[in-house]
Amino acid sequence: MAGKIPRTQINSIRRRDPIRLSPTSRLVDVVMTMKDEKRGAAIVEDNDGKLIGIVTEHDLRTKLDHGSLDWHSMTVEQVMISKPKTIKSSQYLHEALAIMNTCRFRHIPVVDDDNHVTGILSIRDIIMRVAKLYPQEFLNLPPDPHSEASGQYGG
Amino acid sequence: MNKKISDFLSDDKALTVDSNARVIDAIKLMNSEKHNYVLVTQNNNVQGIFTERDLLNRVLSEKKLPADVKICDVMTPNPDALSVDDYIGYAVERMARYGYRNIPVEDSKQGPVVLTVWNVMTHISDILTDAEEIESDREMVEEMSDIGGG
Repeated sequence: MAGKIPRTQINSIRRRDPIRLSPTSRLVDVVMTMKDEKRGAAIVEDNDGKLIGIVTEHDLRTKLDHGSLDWHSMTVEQVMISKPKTIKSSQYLHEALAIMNTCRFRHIPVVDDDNHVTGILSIRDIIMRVAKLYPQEFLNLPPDPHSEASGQYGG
Repeated sequence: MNKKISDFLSDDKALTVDSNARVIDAIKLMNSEKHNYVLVTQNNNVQGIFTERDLLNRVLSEKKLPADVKICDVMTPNPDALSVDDYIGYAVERMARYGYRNIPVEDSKQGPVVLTVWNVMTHISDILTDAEEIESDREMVEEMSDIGGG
């Protein structure tokens, strides 16, 4: 069991291809895409496909004027976080966790040496991975009392 | 590790709004208190939870004006709740399986509280730290066993 986490590289973790935007993407379209794709974040690339920013649900809550619908005409570059923190696929899980825990980021882009995004790692991905690596911590628990049948008839 | 949820909760009381509040009021409270959720209550009973995901999926993408929308119409009603005496593993399992980031917790002493994903990350960090220390100890033993061995 010991050593699983320190030796777990980012490239061994399931991570999804992110929603990719240009800086001039309309925010209203981004919102629709994030909903349809069930994502909490999207990355922003320049014309060369290099990472220049990230937009998250947090930005949509904190940076828009919710007193009007004027934000519909705004573009991604007006709300994105520029030059976001990143991690490389050769780095380790505990390094990603440290960044996310310290900075309170729920998503971190995974990039190659040329700053092209190869995936995005979410806090849920990390929790799922840790739960799999350490099943004795999470799975060998007494039966979940909240999962007991609520009706009198068995299935 | 059989730690209980109570071991991970912060002292912060849960953010709450009345079920008749407007979404704009919830957003203002979330922004001022720097939280990504509010519990929706009626007569101090939790009726639902409203998160950034609800804001995205049920308000912004529907092109609704937050001042025109009642929170009870866009909240997630009857959210999965746990007890302070439940094992933290149950919360981790729900966060991994369902993607929850905030889980209401029933605490008879201080009213509703919320276990956040960041509370759980503290637990995970502890596991990682333990793992690294064990790994470090083992590597030291392996190195020492090479000295003059055989």
